[in-house]
Parts: sequence; structure tokens; C-alpha cells
Amino acid sequence: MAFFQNLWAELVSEFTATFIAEQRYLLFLNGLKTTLIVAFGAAAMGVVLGFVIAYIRTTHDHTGHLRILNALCKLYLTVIRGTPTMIQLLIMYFIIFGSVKIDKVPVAVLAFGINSGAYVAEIFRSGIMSIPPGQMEAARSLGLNYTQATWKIILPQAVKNVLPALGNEVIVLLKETSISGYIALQDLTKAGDIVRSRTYSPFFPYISVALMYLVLVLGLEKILGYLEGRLARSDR
Amino acid sequence: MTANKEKIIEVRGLKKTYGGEKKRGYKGLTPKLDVLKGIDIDIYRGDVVCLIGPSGCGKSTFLRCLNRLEKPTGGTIQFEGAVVDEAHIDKLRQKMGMVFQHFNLFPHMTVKENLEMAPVLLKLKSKEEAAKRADELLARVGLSDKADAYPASLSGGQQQRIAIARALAMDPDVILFDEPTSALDPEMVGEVLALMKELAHTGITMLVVTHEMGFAREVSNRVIFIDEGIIQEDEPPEELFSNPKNPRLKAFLSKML
Amino acid sequence: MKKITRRSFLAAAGLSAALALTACSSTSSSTAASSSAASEAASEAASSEASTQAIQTLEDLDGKTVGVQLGTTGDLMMSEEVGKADGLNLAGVEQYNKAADAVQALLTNKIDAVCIDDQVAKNFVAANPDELVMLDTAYAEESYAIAVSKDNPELTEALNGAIAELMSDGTLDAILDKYIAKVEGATGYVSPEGTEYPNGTLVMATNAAFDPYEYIENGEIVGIDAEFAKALCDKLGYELEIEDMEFDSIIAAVVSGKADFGMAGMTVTPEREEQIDFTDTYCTAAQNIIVLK
Repeated sequence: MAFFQNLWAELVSEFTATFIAEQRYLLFLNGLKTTLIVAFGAAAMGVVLGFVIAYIRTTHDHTGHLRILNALCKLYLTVIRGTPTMIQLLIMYFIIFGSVKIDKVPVAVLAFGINSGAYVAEIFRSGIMSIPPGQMEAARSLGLNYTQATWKIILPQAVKNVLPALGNEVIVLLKETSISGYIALQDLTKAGDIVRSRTYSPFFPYISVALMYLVLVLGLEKILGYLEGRLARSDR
Repeated sequence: MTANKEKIIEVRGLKKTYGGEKKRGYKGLTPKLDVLKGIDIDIYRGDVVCLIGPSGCGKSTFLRCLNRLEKPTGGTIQFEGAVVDEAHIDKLRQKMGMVFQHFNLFPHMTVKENLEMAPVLLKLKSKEEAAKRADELLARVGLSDKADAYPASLSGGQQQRIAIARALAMDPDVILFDEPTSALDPEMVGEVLALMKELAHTGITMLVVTHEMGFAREVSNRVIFIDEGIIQEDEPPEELFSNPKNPRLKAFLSKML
Repeated sequence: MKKITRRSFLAAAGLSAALALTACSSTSSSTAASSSAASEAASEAASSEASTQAIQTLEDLDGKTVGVQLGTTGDLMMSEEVGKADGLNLAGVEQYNKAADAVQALLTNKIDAVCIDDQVAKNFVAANPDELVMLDTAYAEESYAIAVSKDNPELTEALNGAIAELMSDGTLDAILDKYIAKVEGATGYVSPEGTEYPNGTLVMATNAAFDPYEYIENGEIVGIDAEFAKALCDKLGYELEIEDMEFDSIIAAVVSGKADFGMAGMTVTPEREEQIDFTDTYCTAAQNIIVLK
């Protein structure tokens, strides 16, 4: 009995040190906010960027146009997918924005967005290529031009097909933003690190940070499930 | 019998060669294959033409060259007096519908949206006109009750009837049928052929690649036998089926009938 | 555009210089020998060109942002000063994972100052004499000690005994001569031949990016703490094994028993004493501020 009382007392004191003392819950809340802004800003940017690149690449594959843009896109994909995200983040902060006093949130959004764009581009491209060629032929045979057929017929189906992979990418991205601490951005992970460096006890900071990520991911999965359900109407 | 009719399609020296190009994974050029070796033909308004021939003879390729889903490697095609080339193709296709072997309905749209999409997007009809026309066509193909269904919930025969309605929604002058019944279960072939037969009686120009010899004999006014990449015979059906002279045609018919 | 690019390259060069210093310098005798001299020269130069240096004294830090290494005393002290009207009244503190990252952020204008232990500060200034300068007044004096788990008072006691011995027999002075005074030909501490380790192994947790206390040279962790720990372990009959980790992980490693003791230029603070025991102090140091010239 005394053992449990001691354990309980210790848990309460650690909990207090982790969240209540010096208003540390604010660190977690602000970290959570930063993580959300960075992750969703980067996801939005990655989706737009990835879409444009996938569009350029498939248009080149189908029509042979846009040669130079296609080459640039391939270079971008090679460089971004061939180097670690953390190095890209450090390069963005210390070199590209070297000697500029700049808010770190946009820097992180830019670095993670550019990174994610490369993966999203390949997701979209595989989605576009998964649509049977008969769809493009049917659309063209009705008199739609390439652009109309792509936007009206190919892309809506492609987006539906890639939604699970896209959702996966957003989840990976959300968790990958945890390296933002390397540019001293106080995201959720860094908040846990800071609190641990003050309380010297890793249990509550890390477990609570892990739970917060988990809750965010569960929320994302819910949203994605809803979207998939809505788009699956045509599968009877 | 076609002499006083208006010429709608004129094909001269049409050639199509596959391969002979640079491609990744190949050393040098890809192997060449001559599918069409020089096709000359005139199609007149109101013609119902059946294209027959052994598989791989080029009949589908010929059909697909007419609306440039395949780009010809030689020769010229004129449609309603205009040259069929890359610059004018989208405009010309509006008047030259196509029905595919695998239907190719748009799965993310309802049946009715499949019919309305192109006329509205291309600003040929207002939203209301297109909806009205779609209702008419659905009634005509006997599928009014499926207007709000998605293609995936329809049988193959129903899908092909919708695909024909979709082509008709553009009010085309010519419809190209690329083996429209080949992918269907046998019990569904009849409903599609019946619809096509009905369509033939309206006077619309039809080019049909088919293996249905009964349909060719009964409905068409010209049957064209293609083999080895050229037109071997171009005769009215009674002539061609009852009295085949070409030995290749004889051999082909003996296998089909 | 062009200008930014060029400056970026300068920044990149600065980064590599800083890294080179932390990682593997101080064998090059010119850098080593002139380290403290350079920093003195640097502060002189700074005072003569007073007009360009924005921050001259601690008071000038009012409303400024200071970079630190996460979990260091610099971090703890500076975090206390944020918005404190009767103190430095800082605008904010940015916690980097490595001291070198904080200095890099200063060099690329992301922050206004870096708060760091004096010997380390000197080395960063020496590596970037044209850009950096150390403020004349230290922010705070402090003493370093070894962190040991509260469950292991025997080890604390044994280490205290050994520390006292090695301080009185001149071993520690020899090590400081080598790393801080940089006396020509100073050999520091070398294990006597035939040292035996009958008691097993002690694991030391450290953060080897803290020249001159602990840093990596030729792939090995060296520095004052590393050599002094070796001397302590030799004395107590233990083999020494050094584990490199982030600074803010060291105490957790000691508490959880992943390491037997932590030694990383670690200042004794009341907060830390709640988690671990400290040995007697073996070094004194100061927290200093470095700023852009």
C-alpha cells in the first residue's frame, strides 16, 4: 500500500513539474501550435508543388511538350529525394536564408514543403498513370482537348486513387517536423526536450509529446477516412 | 448506289507504321511493324459500313486513325471537307463520335453526367439543353431509370448502351464503333446490336469494326474486308457474303460462319 | 540576390570553420597557441571600433534574443532573464542542440548573442576573429562537478577522494596547462604503464562538442574532462568508457543508470541537485556572452 502511495505521490510531483511548474503547459501548447502550423503549411505547399510537378511530368510523358520544365522537375526530385530532410532544413536555415533575420516558422514550412512536394509529385504521378488510357481516349474522342480531358476526367479519378497515399505522406510529414528543433524552432518535440532539460525526467515530457502526435495522427486519419468515403460514392 | 450521296470521309494512301523510333530500353530503333499499307476509301453520308477481317489485320487501327487516336504515318484523311490534322482535331472529333470495346464510361460521374459533360464543357449546349437531350437519349436506349447511377453499378450491356448515348449526346455526323460487342457477355450482345440497328435506320453514318457477321449482313450497306493492311474487298453485304471471290476472304468467312 | 548568395557562402564557410574547430582542431599549433591571445586582441579591436558593435555590455542585451545550447546553465540562466525587467529583460532565448549551431545562428544574424561557458566562448571567437567578440564582463561565475546517481553515494564518495588526490598531486593542473594555458610541451595526463582495472568499467556520459572540456579529435573524445576522468578511473581501478550524447540527455542517462557518471563541464545548480548528486567541484568557469562585432 505504501509502495503505491509513494508511486502516486511521485507521479503527481513529476506531473506537476512537467506541466504546472513555471506554466510549462504553455510550452507544450505553443509547441503543438507551431507543429500544426509547420505541418499543415508544408502539407499545403507540398500538395500544390507536387501537383504542378506531376502535371508537368505526365504532360511531358503523354505529349512530349514541356521538355525543359520536365528536366528541371526531374532534377528537383533527384536532389530532394536523395538528401536527408534534416540537411535540407539546415541548408534552408543557415545557407539559403543565411545572414537574414527571419522568423523560423516560414523557413520550416518552406523546407518541409519543398521536401514533401517531391514525394507528393510521385504520388500524384502514379495516380495519374493508374488511370486506364481508355479514359483519356474517350474524353478526347468527345472533342475535349488534352487539358480539358486531364482536368475533367483524369485528375478527379487520380486524386481519389491517391488519397490514401497522400494521407500517408501528410502523416509522415507531420512526424518529420519533429526535427525542427535543429534550427531551435520550438515545435512540440522541442517543447518536450526543453521541459525534460529542466525536470531531468524524460517520462512525462516524452510520453505526453508522443500522445499528442498520436492524437493528431488519429484526427488526420478520421478526416482522411471521411474524404475517402465521400469520394468512394461512385464505387457503388 | 452511293453515287449521288454526299461524300463525308475521304481517305487517301493512309499508312500506319508502329515502331522505328527511339525508345528507352532499346538499343537503336524499335522494330518496325507496317499495320496499314495504303488505304483509299470514300465514305458517304448515311453509309453503315462494317469493317471485318482477321485479328491484327489493321481494321481497328484504321478506325482509330480516322479520329487520330492513332496518328497516321502517311496519307491524308478529310472529314466533311476538312483535313483531319492535329490542329483541327478537337473540333472535328465533336462531329465524329466513338464507341469503344471497353465502353470507357467515366466512373466518377453519374450516367447522366457522362452524357452532359462534353456538350456543356465545350459550350455546344446550355446546361438545360444538355440535360433535356440526355433524358431523351436515356429514354431511347431504355435506361432512364439509371440516370443517377454510377457506371460501376451497370451491366456491360447497359454500359455500352450508355456509351452509345454519350456519343450521340454530341449530335455527331459519324459514329465509329470499335468492336462494340467484343467485351460483352453473350447474353448482352443482342441488346447492344439491337440499339445499333435502330440507330442505323435513323440515317446516321456508322463505321463498325465487328466480328458479328449477322449484324454486318443484315444492317450494313457496305462491308469492307481488310487484310494485310489493305482493303481487299468493298462490297454490299449480300454480294460479299454470298459470293466471296477473294481467297483470303473465303478463308476468313469459313472460319467465322 | 547576388549579394545574398555571396554572404551565404561566407556563412557556410563560417559553419565549416566552427565545426572544424569543435571537431578536430587544436593540433594545429598556431590556432591552439594563439587562442586566448586572439580573443584578447579581438576584444581590443572591438573596443576601438566601438561604433559598429551593437552590444557592448550586458545591459545592451535588453530586448535582444540570445542563443544557447539546450539544457546548459547558459540556457537555464538566460531563460530566467526573458522579459525580466530588473534583469537583462531579454526578448527571447533560442535553444539549439549544439553550441556550434547557436554560434552559427549568431554568425548568420538570426540571433543577437550567444551565452556559453567562457573557455568554449574563447575558442569560438578565436575561430571567427573578424565576426565575433566576447563581452568583457562574464554573466556569471560557476563551478563544474561530476554528476552521479543518487542511488550510488559510494561512487560519489570514491570520486571525491580521487578528485582531492589528483588536485593536490598536480595531475589536474597538468591537464589544465595542456588545454587552457596551452603550455608548450604540456602532456596532460597519460595512464601510467601497467595500470590495472580490477573493478570493471565505468561509463561516462558527455557531450563531446565543448572544446576544450570534451571534443572529438581524430575520432577520439579528448579534453579536460576526458583526461581527468581517465585519471580518476585509473586511480579507482576502473576502465573508462565514454559515451557521447546530447547535453540535455546526460543527466537522464545517469539517473536511469545508462551511465555511471556524467562529466561535461557541468555546473552545479539546485535544480540539477534535485535529480542527481554532484561530487566536489574540480573546475571554475564563467558564463560569457559572445556577440557580433
